[in-house]
Amino acid sequence: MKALELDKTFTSGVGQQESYGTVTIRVVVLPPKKNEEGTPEIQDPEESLAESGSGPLDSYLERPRGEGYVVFLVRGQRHDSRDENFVQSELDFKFLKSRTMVIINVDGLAPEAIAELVQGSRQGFYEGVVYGAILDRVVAVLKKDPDLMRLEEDAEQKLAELRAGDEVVRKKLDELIEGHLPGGHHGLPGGEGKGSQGGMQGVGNSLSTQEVVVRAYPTVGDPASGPILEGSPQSETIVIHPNEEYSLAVKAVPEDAWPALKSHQIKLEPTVPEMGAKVEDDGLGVTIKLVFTEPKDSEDYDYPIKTKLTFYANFDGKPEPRLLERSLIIRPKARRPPPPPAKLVEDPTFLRVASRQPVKLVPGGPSCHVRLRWDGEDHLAGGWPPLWTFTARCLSLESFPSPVFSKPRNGRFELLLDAPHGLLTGQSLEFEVEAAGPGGKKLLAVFSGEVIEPPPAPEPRKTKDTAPAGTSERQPPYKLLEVYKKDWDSPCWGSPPWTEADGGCFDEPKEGVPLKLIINKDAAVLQAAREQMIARQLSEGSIKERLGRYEAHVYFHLYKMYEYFVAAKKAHDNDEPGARVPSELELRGEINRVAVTLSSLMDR
Amino acid sequence: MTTRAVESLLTELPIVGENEYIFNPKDPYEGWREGFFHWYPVGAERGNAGRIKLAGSAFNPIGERTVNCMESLIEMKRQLELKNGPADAPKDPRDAVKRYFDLPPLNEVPGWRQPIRGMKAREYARSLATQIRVYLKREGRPAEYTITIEDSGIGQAPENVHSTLLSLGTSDKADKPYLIGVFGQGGSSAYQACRYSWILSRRHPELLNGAGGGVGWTVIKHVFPKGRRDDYYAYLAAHPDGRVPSLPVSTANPIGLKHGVRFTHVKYDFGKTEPARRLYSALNHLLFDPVLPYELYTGPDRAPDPMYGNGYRLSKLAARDKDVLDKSFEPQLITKG
Repeated sequence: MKALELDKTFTSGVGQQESYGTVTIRVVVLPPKKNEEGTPEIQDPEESLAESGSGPLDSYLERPRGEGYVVFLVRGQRHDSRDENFVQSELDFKFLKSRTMVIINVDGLAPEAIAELVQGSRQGFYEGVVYGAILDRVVAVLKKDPDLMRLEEDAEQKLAELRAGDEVVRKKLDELIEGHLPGGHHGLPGGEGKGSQGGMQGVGNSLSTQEVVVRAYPTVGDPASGPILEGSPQSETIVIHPNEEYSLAVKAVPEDAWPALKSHQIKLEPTVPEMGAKVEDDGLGVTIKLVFTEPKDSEDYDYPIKTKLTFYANFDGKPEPRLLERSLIIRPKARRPPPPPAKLVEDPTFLRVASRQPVKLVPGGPSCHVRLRWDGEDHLAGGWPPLWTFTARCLSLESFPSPVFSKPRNGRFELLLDAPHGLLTGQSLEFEVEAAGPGGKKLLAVFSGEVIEPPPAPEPRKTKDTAPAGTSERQPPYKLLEVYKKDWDSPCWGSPPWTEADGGCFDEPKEGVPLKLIINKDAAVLQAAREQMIARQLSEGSIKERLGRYEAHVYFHLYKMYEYFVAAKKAHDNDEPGARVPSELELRGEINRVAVTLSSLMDR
Repeated sequence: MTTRAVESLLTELPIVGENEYIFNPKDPYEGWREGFFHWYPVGAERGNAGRIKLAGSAFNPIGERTVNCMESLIEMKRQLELKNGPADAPKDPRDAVKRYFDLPPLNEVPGWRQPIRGMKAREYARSLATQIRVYLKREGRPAEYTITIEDSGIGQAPENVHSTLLSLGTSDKADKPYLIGVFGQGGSSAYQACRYSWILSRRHPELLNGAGGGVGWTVIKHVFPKGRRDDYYAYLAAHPDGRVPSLPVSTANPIGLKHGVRFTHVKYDFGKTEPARRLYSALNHLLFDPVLPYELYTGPDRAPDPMYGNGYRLSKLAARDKDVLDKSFEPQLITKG
């Protein structure tokens, strides 16, 4: 009842007196331009459009690379516009920003609202409360648009793939540096560090909060006795592909403890109705077989689906359950092209909901997009008057705001649900969609929704976990130094001077003085790369990041050269056959070669 | 039409210099010399520069003028409709275009299946575009650009040109919801962007309502009065009440002016941009979803481009490229608070 009262308030809030009128929103995303080889050129979101050359929307802007990615129209005339950063900063689609156009037609606003917006100069809207309300609506409609989210994910993935070739070398070095340089993250072997003695809260009402035993490092919780559970594969995160069985073997450590197993339980949180789980016990352990059965008409839009698998086991004589956790990510092996559209006909035969149900409704949150399919030709929903019209209503709550539709394209369209404030979390709502055509023909589809709380925004949280000691406490076996042109008369590979061709050098440790790894900050290749990045108008952050990566790689290579040098010297001192200490010239040549290579990579 | 041609014409006309006739709004007859043309402030307002210098860019005024042409066509249809008896006014420009031209929003034309007046939607839209024409010409030595925007709309009789086409902020559109502009001065910003503007106007013969049927004409220029800082824009007037000169109707037919208005802006200032290429993109962007199509002529040997706006272009692109995402949502309520 409480929710209903609040809904009534909301309903009066959207009455004509309480609104400015209506706007229509259109969003168009063009595919990325292709280069001469036919490869899509995905815009690097860190690069400005001015730097990246022509974009696919250039011919649709007032001037190339100018504003106009978001346009506001009055009677078809552009009165205001925004640049591509709106798509990035307000809608969070940074990979789409250079090829997305949002068109907002404000003709449906009340004359008073238009009068507030329009200025005599036609040089932009007045950015007051009406303008703000329009922007809020645009964000609510588009921020969680499944098509935009899918395209964003595609673009990110493609960009990663495009970079992959060049990145192989860099990535390898990055990985190595991670393990060597101060401040680098030290990976933890085994990957079984999660879990805590007091921590079973939030896994479900049927489970009580109690102490559990997990496989973890000594820094976690208190000592406990076995057995513990071990999973195979050991990876903490499991990727499951739709319609493919995945097996997770669970056994006890020590293995001979398994016969003492009393009971076991498996739980998915949140639940995934399409997921089937079968547990097979072979007397030595269990195999959990998971299958995500993709519903008919399911498309990539709903992926990835994330959940957590928890396996509990109770052993005779052991009061605390044993616990094993895995994060599950369900997604197709590769982005698949959308299935061929159903044959569209002049006399449609079906209307159905293609979204996963129950659809999730966040009170006061972004619009929920419910995907619909029918087999009617697109033009049936247009024309004067349209031959077919769509309506939708909430069967459970009369006062639920009237949903609106997108225009069908290739038989696909969407229904937007805006859950009002005041609905109770967990509340289930039933909806009905109706397509009405000539001669009283009707097509119906129903679907369910569930009110959920908005996901909490990430915030700083203090927690306990294993982590490398602070760098201040760590004594690296080397010292990182930089040399500038003014210091070029100092020793380089043992004797001065440095030249612009020198990328760096190391200086062997002496008594009380650690190994010195020295980078030439005024090396010609580095200067050239820096100037080129500035000329391309890369952002300051991007330049800094690339320079930092260059330096890390050069330092790392110097470190590895030193290790090799020491090993070679030792072999030589031991008269090992073929042992040879690299000359100063060879060392100099090697690091200079690396500097040139890395600087060229830096500019890509 | 070039600067030289306009100035040559002006030297042959009996014109009182701009520093000789100082417009007095309380008594425009003061200082008026019978038998001469006088430089008369646009909108009968000496301080009109502030209302005219609103162009912002070289392309905005051209877009504004083109919108005026669309209104001229709609108003012509509306007035012809009223000649046959009372009829409710269309509720907005789209409604008017639907009623008078059977034209759907241009962004829907690529997917429009129903024939319009016996033609395919695209062909019909193309034929309508001929009613409004935008010409870009590069001529003269040194080369200069001339922009002409003309329509086959209602036009204005010579005796009304000063109170309509040359008015500022005294719009007759406010009670006509089917028209587009309100302030009635958007197109005037073109005066800022050129050296001279040249107007020809002829009222639709069936809609004279007692007015004369000749061709009204005038020239507009930027005036810097001697010893003063209040520059303004002035046109050649033939009468102290602001009426423009006129020509007999016989002069209209040889130049193909059946009815409508021609605005020519001479020595148009495009800055450093090369307008022939830019004009197409800029106009399609500024008139993103125009209520009516128009033609753009950018070269002597080049066929006109039919202009339907970016809304149409994007729809057309989406229709042929399945990789283009194109989603439109029904009207969204904008709530207060």
